[in-house]
Amino acid sequence: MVTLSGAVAQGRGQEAVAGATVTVKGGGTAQTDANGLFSVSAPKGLAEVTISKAGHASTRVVGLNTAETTEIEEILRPAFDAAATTKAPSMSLSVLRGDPAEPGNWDDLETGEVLNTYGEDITIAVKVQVDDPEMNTFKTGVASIEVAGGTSGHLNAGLTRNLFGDPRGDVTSFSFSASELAAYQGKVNLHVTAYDLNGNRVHLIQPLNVLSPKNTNAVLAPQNVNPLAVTFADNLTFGPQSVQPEVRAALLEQLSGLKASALNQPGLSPMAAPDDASLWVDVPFSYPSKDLPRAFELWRSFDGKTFSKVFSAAPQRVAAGTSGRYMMRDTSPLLTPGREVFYKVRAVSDSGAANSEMGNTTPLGRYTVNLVSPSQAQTLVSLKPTFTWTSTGASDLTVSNVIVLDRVQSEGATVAWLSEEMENQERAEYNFDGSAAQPQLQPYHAYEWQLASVTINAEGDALAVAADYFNLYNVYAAKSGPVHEFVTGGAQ
Amino acid sequence: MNHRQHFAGILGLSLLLASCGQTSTPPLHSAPGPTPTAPGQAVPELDGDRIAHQLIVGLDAGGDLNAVLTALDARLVDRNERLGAVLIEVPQGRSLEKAAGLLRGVAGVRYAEPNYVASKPVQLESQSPLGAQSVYGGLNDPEIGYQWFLRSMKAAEAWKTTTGKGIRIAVADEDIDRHHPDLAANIAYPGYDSPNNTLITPATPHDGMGQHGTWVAGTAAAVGNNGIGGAGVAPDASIVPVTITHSGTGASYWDSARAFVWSVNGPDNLAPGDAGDADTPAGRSGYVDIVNYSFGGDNYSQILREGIEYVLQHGVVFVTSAGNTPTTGSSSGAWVPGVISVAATTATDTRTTFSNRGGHLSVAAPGENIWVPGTRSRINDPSDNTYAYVNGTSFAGPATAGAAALVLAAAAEKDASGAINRVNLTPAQVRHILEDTAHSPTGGYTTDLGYGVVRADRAVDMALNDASNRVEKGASLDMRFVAQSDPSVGIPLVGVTLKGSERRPDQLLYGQSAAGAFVYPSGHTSFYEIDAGDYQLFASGPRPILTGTAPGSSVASVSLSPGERRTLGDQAGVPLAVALPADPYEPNNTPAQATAITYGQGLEAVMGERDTDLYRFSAQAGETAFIGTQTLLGSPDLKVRVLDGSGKELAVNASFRSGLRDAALAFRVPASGQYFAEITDEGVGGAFNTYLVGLTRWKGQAPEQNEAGRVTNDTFGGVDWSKALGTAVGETYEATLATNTDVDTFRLSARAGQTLVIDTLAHESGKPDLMLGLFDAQGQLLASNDDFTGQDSMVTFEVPSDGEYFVAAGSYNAESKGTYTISFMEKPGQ
Repeated sequence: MVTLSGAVAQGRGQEAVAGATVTVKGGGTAQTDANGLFSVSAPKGLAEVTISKAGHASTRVVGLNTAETTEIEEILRPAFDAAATTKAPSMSLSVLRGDPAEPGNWDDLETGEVLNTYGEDITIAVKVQVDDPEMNTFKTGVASIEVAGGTSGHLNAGLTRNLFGDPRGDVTSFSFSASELAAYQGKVNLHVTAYDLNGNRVHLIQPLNVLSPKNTNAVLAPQNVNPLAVTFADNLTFGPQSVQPEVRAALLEQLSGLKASALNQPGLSPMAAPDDASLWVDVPFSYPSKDLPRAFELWRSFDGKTFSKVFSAAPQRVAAGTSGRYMMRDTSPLLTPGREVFYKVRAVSDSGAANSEMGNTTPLGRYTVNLVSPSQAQTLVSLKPTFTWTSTGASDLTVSNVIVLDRVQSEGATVAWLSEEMENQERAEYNFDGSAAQPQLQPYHAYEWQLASVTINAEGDALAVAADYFNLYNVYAAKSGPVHEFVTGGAQ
Repeated sequence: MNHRQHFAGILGLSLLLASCGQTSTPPLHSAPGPTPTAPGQAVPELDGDRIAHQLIVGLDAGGDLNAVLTALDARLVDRNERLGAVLIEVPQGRSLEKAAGLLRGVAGVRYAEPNYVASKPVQLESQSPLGAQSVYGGLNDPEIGYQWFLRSMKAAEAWKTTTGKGIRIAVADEDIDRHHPDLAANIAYPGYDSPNNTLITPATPHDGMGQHGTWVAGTAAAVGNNGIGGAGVAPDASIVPVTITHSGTGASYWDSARAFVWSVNGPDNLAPGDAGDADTPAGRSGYVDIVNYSFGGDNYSQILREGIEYVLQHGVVFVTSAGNTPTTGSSSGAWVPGVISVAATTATDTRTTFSNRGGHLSVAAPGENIWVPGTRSRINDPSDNTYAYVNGTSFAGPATAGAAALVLAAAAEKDASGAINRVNLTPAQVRHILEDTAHSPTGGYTTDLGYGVVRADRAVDMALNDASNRVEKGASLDMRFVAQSDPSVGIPLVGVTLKGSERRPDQLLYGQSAAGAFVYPSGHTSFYEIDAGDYQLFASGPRPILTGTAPGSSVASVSLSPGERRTLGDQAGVPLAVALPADPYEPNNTPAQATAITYGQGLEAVMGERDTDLYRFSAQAGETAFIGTQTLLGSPDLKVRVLDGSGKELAVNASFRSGLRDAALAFRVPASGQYFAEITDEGVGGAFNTYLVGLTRWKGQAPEQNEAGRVTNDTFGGVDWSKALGTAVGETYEATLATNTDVDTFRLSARAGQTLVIDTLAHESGKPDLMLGLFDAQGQLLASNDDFTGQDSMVTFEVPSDGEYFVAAGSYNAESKGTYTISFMEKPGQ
């Protein structure tokens, strides 16, 4: 028997699930604590784990080899439909060996059976069987190398492929090319997760043995590892929710312009949908050579001594612009506000590996703002009002901007005032900075006001965003902050 | 090839074999010996609980396959090396038990058994013959089980009363796949293609782009009980297809608003009830009964509001999605008073993470994991029943529109056969029914879900209970803002806010008065189908940020009763004390009254409602005159014509470049004499539409001097003036910024007190995105401009002293290049 430990969250970068029951087939049972963490006994070797909780869909982990891995991170979703089944689906994989038109060319993979890539592309078929198939079906899934891909819109976690279910057919497939797999060499796990309609999840771990061309570049230690923890006030969505990239681009352009003339402006978009996250750590670093390693690995520790690998990626996949700068993002559910976390980046090639110095950060808790005055739907407001607000969860420094919009009745010129940045303030007089479109507001006119506000610690390595609809701070456009409408009174 | 489907078909057989657990489907390894038959080439026969004529034989490593086959006169079907077994087919007539017995004598055989089959309850392909047991709601649609949204909205209970037959829903959206097998029977023609301004008929092909419209239409009214796919919330309602865009990136406000008006008027373009109107169905308020609009954006739009008001004014229901930002702030469509705006929910009646919030929401409806018809992947295949999973408030909207259709159908007056005679609920009544019967998890109104989640069963019950008399009607408030000094002048851009309905005393309702350019006359604003109550009204305008003048205000208390249509103010309207822009040249509406203009002058005038402004000038044969207009205020759509002394048109321009509302032209003067420049507005004009008209000599192309200079953002630096082109007031050049970093320079003399006007027009919008700077002889910047109209620049400056002045033209932040015209003018002295 070995001890298997881990964390359970509702999604990548999301809230921990406390009080979930973790059961290992042939092993023990345990409950997750307030931080979603658990420790349970498991047989050594191949193990199957089930996680469940009242009101939630369940998760089943298959193909876990406890001889190699004793720490896991899993996701447990709230049940989408309380009346529907909470039994996790089952999944089986087969690998294509030859012409896909030949039916016999699909080789079923047994649980735990190592799949050799032989240096070639691999194509794998996934068959998902759900409980209660008349009312339920395989909805979505993710196949990823090395790290189980989650529901985060921006994964930055190994190579990933999205899988889509179809109630009318229970098999789908995905491929990884040899060149994509070239970041790896030797044993690495393929993770395939699938969700049914109700959020029940199966997570299958399929070991691979990757044969890649040798990269014998000398490796150097990555430099300037400066983690930045980012926390949001809400379970936010990543970007405007449209399936087509051009719609997203059009929306972003529209928002940044805000001076659009009313006529003939292609600005209305169909309202199709989501994905969410609320806490992650970005680890930027630089690499001091143009001869790149085969892969960068992100390693993380919570005590500064014992490190475990988060994931690896080929340099091209995590390049941040040009000139040797990179960024890897950790969205693990193990990240917790107030829990210090340490990172090292390792450069790996077939001639060796080199570690960076350690960088660290302590993620902040949620920072929220509460608009006070003018209050929602207040009328007869002064033409030069004073805006006031309160906040919770502020760290060492807060930066805020007041934004007043004349968006409800306009033909262009919607921004009445976008204030200068204020530090550690919770009040602002209209136009204190002289930058408003007009020295005072229009009488008997409706406006809406909101804040962009972010807090940052003294070290400058952790920040939390309360609201930032227009992405003033260039961290992320956090759109769901509070907004108050008000109506001015007459000229004084 | 659709790999997934192909694969499923092949595996179908293999899974049957595999489910008994005795063998797996092996790949065919090439091996010496008899060539096996590939599995799946012929479907084996079932014989009771086993495959007929097949035996599975387990063989030791050293076992002799040939001996086995010879012993039974069998042929090899398949083999599984890993399990050490083969699948063989024995000849007809030989019993399997006997064959197994014969193998006992063969060396290396470990076992032999029939190829049993376990039965599988799941079918790989959905099919359900008519009369098969219904999964939900008494309908035989086989995939209705995946449509949890129907269960959430209690649609089946509502269907006991009505399935929406006879109610017409306009789906204003991307092009719908109208011949989709699970939509076709519910599509009503003709529909409307707004971007192309043509009708949609059964013969109109799909535009190849639209997906969203198909999903939306299917959510509201996919055909029910036809044995395929699922069903919509109103499975027998009619969908009138109204396409508002052929682009994947969105729909313009203009096309959307025009589509709304069409949805009410129908193909004859006559308003319901107007003389000659022939296409409004009897007993209906409009060509359709409900408009669904699952689009929206962050910008307020007057056009959109007028289009929506038109729908409500004519008694047609308007349903729209809240939006997916998620934001609490305002957006278009959903914030127009009187609409039914819908947020999105999950199966646990909670708001989805992406759904917009706010005090404008009416209700909420399912918007996650919605299984609905999608545009067919094989668009010409009538049996391709494509379906898709979708998420968004886009689908909460039509789900509610479907519920509204059930409500209208339930309440309607019907004849003996049950067909609808008259639709008798107003839009506010439909909204109130949905709001009053919605399920609120907290027991009251919330900015997450509005009044709550739509419950179609309770809504239909309320509709059955003499609803047209018992359900509270909405109220309407009309007003026209006029200039106190001249009540014939309507005032556009007056913002109006109402607060204080009885149902929602905290809610603010917004509007703005029209510019007269679309549906309603200038100064008009209205609120249709809003809740009754004692309101405070606040109004001021026109917006000083656009007019530069102090706005007039009006504050009033207004009490509205249910069903009331009130007009605010008196006969003339609501007077506002507003200083109207003056046009010193009026009257100049006829050649006899024409205002004299000479080369070099730029005159500021007002393009009033239905106004014509005429300017006369003298010109010499062989000259080329350049007449340019520039909007200063408001949004006129200017047109320039050059007329000769007898009024004959010699030249005309309506738009200097595509998309520009200002006009300009170069006119080659044929003979010396007097000519007229006529300026009109292709719209209706308005009291605040102010423009500049300039007359200059066209000098042709400016020589490219390749001057040095640097533009950073909006600042010029290091400009070399030594090569500046000598010009003068009264000249227009065509010049080119050859590269992004090119700076063109000009030099001219001016007198103290002269107001210089330097105006530019790019030949292509944003190419270049011009920056203009006016400098004195010492190189000091006196005035600059980046964007005056769009990205064209204009500088106006009163020169302090006699002397030489310099003008630099570059591109904003050195980001663009292109050809432009530049005119040097002066405003005549007072």
